[in-house]
Amino acid sequence: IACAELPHNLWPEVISRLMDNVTNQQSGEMLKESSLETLGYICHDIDSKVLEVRANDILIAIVHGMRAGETSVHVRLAATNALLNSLEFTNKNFEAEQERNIIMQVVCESTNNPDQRCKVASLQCLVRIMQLYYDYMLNYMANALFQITLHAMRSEEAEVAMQGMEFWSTVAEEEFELTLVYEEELERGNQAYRNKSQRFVEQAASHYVPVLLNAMAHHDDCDDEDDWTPSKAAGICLMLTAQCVKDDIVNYVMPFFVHFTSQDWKFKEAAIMAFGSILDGPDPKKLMPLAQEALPAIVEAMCDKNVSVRDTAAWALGRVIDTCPEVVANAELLQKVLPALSSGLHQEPRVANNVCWTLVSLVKACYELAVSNGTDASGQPDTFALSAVFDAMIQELLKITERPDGNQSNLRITAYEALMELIKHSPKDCYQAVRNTTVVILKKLETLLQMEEQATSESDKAQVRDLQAMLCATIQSVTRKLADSDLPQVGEHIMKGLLQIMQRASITKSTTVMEEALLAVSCLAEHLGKNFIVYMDVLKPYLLQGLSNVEEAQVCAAAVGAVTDLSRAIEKAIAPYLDEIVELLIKCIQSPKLDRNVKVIIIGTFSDIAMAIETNFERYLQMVVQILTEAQGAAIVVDPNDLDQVDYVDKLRDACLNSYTGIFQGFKVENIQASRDSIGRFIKPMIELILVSSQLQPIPPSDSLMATTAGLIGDLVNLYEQQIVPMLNVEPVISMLAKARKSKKSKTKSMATWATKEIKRFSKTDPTFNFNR
Amino acid sequence: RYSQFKNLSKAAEQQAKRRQEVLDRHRDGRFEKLIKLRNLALDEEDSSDDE
Repeated sequence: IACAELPHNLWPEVISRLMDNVTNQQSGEMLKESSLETLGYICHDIDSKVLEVRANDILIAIVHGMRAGETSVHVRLAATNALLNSLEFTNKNFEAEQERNIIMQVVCESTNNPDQRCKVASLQCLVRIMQLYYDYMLNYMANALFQITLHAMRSEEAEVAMQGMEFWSTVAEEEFELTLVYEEELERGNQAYRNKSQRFVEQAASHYVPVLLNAMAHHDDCDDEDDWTPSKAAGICLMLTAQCVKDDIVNYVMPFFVHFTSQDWKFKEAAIMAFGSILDGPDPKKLMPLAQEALPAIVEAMCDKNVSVRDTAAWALGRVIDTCPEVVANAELLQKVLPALSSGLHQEPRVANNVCWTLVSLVKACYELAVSNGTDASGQPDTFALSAVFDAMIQELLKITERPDGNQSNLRITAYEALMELIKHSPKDCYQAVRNTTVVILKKLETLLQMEEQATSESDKAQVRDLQAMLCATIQSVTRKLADSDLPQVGEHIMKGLLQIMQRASITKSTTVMEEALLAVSCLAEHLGKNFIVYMDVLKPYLLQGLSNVEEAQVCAAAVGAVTDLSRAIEKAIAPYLDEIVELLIKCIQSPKLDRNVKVIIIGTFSDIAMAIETNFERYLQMVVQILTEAQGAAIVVDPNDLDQVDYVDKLRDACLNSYTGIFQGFKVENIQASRDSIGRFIKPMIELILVSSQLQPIPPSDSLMATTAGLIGDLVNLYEQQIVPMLNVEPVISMLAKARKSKKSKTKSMATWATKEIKRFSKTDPTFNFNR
Repeated sequence: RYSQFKNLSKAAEQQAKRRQEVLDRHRDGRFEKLIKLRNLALDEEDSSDDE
């Protein structure tokens, strides 16, 4: 009730009444506990902005409940949990040093509480405080936090140890992010920017890494594969630490690698896990000798009798190839790796799953190596290191997709992912295998349709649908690889299969299947071009259905994407279908249910439609320009610190400008005056948006937005010449173009250079332009 | 945190990557078509930068 009423300023006294219940000496244990729990629930569920003004009362109650003098464990636990939920809106209290000291003192003391639940909750508070108030933590780190969390990590109690590790994972993540921001600022030329990272991890890592390594080698024999354990938490913490301390991590972990040959599987597994965990951080050049030395042992470990060792070895092998892809150039090594992977595919699902991902890394590395050695204009290499075994790999993966235990450890889905990557990264001499796979996939689709009809249990049906979605995704990979000569014939079979799938999916309302099927249709249209026209009538019902599905953002987005591809593929021939399509697109934009990111995609799609049907867009012009005007009116940054909002506004402006540009190009005809007249009708909102999008303050436009803005400026000046220059050769456009000309993105740079040239070309003559002409 | 362990989040990442690739492909295709309609050659523009 409080959550419903407080945002409307009703029941304003509820917080102070709950506080009184806790601080009043006459209150009993149960009243204090339930009042704190109630405060905790309110803090958890309500928009944090609503409670900012009541933060003091809430904190008084919490600190009172958490203090060492409180004898009831229940009250202290309820207070600690309430604190955890209130940290988000206590920023004002954290800004004030004295208040911050009190909160930190009470939380740190609470970590000594003999009750494990209180200890864990207090450590959770420290993790959250670190996330939210990192900048204030310097003083507390040396005096308390380092010792408290190191002690926690060494605890025999799993929950306590994991919170200690979580603390350092959080610090490492935070410092990694801060360093990335710092490096980006330097790259942008902001040399005065200071790295806000206080390098806690760099200073603490040598102390806590040995604790992590020790924890990694300690498994409980009854641990389940899916359990979250100190050993796994330690592995993640080590991985995040490596990202922060980079080369130094090797020194801390090196002594532990002696366990690569340990007879104790727990230490052997931990050593391989540690090796795989530190790869993303140090300089790959420095890692290369280490990787080459470790690889034979890792490959050998893939045949270990212990399943955990094999599982981790398969994963670590993939990590090595991802980090040091040059290792695949060693043909001798490849000869050892391939049989180990082949054997691993037939082992337990968890091992086979990791082997599939390692195959993905391997095939990508081999392909990229072949590309770096040279390709023709198609961009595809003639052959690569896996050509001789490519067909066998495909056949094996297809077998894996049929394993009866493929539903365990996500194996079947991963096998399809691997299959897709193999096809995507196949050189020319593997084309026959790609073509054959298309036939196999289409047959499988047919079988699956029958299987779905026969499936009785919900879980069986769900599995069949997952598979249908994966098959549709695989169809996209093969379609991209099919030769032009094969496309029309194979495309007919593909389209037939996809139509059947969409028919089933629309009855069963399987959103993932429908999304992947629509993406596959889009892909086919892109590659068939004008030849796709013959399928438009049969596709139409599913396309319109997808566009109407505002509740399922991904389905709707896939249908919108299909409109883009269809517009480009069949161009003017899409016109007869557009009345219904455009009507639905506009309904989508107006729908409060549809995800706003899909609305941005839709706005961009008007550009493709306009370029496809050119002046025939006239019938939609008024409606669409109205939508664009409303959208640009809403594309305003209210809070420059809200990064999501900044990003969204940038994308929305970009989409609107793209849309104007497409319409502009569609209406440009041979007769210049006729073009000027028809485009002149919507020139005012275009210029307004150009001026807004060019502003470098408070948030500068992204490279993409600058490129789109510059493109439209160039178009306008090119058409209206000196008439329009005075409107565009002004601030903030001049500064934006100057910035864009220095961009590292070639598109931005070239568009800005072109727009500047066009402005210069026509800036000498006296202008007279009338909007209303 | 659990999803960061080994390859647990990879399938979801691949799915997200595929969706992003569709958007990138559309964006790049739009840009290329506009370059064609504007009769521009990008490389020439690049090399004559800051004239």
